[in-house]
Amino acid sequence: MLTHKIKILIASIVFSAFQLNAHPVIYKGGFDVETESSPMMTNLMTAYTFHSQASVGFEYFKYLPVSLPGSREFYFAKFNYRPFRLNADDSQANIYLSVGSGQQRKDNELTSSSIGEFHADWESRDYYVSGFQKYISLKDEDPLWLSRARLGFSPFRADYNDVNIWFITQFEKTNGEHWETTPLMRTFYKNILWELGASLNGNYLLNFMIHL
Amino acid sequence: MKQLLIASLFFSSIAFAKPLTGEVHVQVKGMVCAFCAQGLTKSFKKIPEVQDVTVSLEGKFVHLVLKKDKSLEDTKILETIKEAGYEGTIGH
Repeated sequence: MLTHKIKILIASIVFSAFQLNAHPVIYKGGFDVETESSPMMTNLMTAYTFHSQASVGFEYFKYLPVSLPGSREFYFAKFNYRPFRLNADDSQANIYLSVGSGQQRKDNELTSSSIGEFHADWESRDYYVSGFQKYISLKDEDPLWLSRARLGFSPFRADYNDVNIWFITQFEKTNGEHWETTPLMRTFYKNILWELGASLNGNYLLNFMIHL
Repeated sequence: MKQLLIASLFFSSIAFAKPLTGEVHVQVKGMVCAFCAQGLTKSFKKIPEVQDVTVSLEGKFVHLVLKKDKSLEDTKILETIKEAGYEGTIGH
């Protein structure tokens, strides 16, 4: 018989796919699932935080870059580390580093691949700023570089039991492509977060995250 | 000399750990979102001595109600907050 937590986990995975640049390390003993989806990518990440500064997890990343021929799928085992955390009275700042190893599937051929990520953020109850850089090695090709920055604000201060709303603008760029600007709305309630947006080029963005 | 140092560290840590009973109020730094509050709530609910947990983002505090006839050391409370990624100060 499935437990309530497993049902929630399955539902969150089925819901669909994305990465939110959310915190890859949460609280000790915590498990998180993140999905990100747009016409260019599908991303599923899970991580278990075994130490207050470190987590291990899995990432599935399907990418259809304009700058590279064909679609790619990646499967990575990852280690996430938070070397820096600043807790202030009304804000927090973080730096995260992630490394991983796995496989790339292209045209039904599997090759080895590795991943590296850098993520920095600062947030208060009113404002949010983050920067993200993702590196993925590709066999016999230039690596994939994905850069992302976000700026956001909350129109009102919500407490723990309230629904939290954020308006965020995301700027994203892959390799030699142009920056894509995506306004989105983030909503979260207790341990569930979702984001809906549409880029200025007309591409949708759907993100979902749950902490268990 | 080394053994003396270890022994003194051991006893000093015992001396500094203060058992708390009843209700405990902890001010928390860095707690700015519902995910932060949820993580702290889950972490404290795992502790058997804790009966109830209240978290306020606005007040920046965690309020614990301990079970009757149970005590919890202040060091354990602060360690739990640290393991969730935050900094706490026990107050009233």
